Amino acid sequence: MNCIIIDDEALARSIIRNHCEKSTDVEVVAQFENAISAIKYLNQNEVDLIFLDIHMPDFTGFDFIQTLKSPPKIILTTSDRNFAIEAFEYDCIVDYLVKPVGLPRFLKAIQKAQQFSLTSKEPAAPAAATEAKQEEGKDLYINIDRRLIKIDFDSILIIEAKGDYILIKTEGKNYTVHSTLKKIEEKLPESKFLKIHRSYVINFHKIIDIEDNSVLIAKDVIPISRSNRPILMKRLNLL
Amino acid sequence: MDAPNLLKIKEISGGMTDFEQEMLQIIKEELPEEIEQYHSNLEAKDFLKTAGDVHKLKHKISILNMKHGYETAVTYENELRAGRPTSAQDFEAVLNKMVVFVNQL
Repeated sequence: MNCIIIDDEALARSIIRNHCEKSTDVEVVAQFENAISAIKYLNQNEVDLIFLDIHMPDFTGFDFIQTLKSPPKIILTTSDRNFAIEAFEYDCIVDYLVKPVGLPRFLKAIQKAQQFSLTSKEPAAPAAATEAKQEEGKDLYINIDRRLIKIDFDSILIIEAKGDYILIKTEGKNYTVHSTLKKIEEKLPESKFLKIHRSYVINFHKIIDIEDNSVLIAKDVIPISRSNRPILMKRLNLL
Repeated sequence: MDAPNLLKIKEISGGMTDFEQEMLQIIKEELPEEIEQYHSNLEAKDFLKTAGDVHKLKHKISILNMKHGYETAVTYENELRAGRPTSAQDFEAVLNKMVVFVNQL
């Protein structure tokens, strides 16, 4: 397997690289101290495995994963012994290693990555199936006061997180629903909607203009988080 | 408070002295930079960035085998993320021990 290492700490990169040299199953083809450089590399090159630090300034490991359309296998590295459960929400994550990483534990993770290749090497099909499923529907039903109200995807402008609720702003009306951004994101077609901030999902086709750190949709100025900005820029049909 | 030592580094290097020396050299270079960054963000009272600096330093604390120092860092990082840091002095003591140790290498 060829792999890359992404970690802002030279010590962490050195340890992983040295461990890789002791394994015949994995070869380091590149190392990066930030996620942005790695994204540029991955736009041109394919890799089998990524060693990815979760906590990096500006752009976390999880932000990075979200920019990848078909992520390769990923082994997370972290200094947290009490590791965040969030990691298990991503199918591409094979294992996680707590720093400093010892060789026996490293080799076990490599073994897991190899088994992962044998059993689940075709993530493209299920991913495509999910997208197709999302594209099938043109609307969404929300439950308000025991009534199921139909909302056309095309009429949605913005969805804003508000504590335990979300505010769905459409061209005609606004709806407050007891749900989370994560739940509604799963129901929305990826071709139309994009999360640009931890509190905002927008209908990509409703953007009027974009300034440095905000987008204008209808009369609302929505902030773009630094970590989501690259994803947004990637989606734009720039002249 | 526990004293820094090389046990963990020797364990990770598996007795390969080149690897061990490489790790020590990086620690000598990275540690002062990370501490400087930490002090700068702390002075600016940017607690979120400071928490990120403490998080990064946790790896160095672990690799120098300071178990209590690691726990201090975890507590302090959580305090910083909550915007109520109270363990700055304890953490500073951990950093000082590391610096003294690394400078002697």
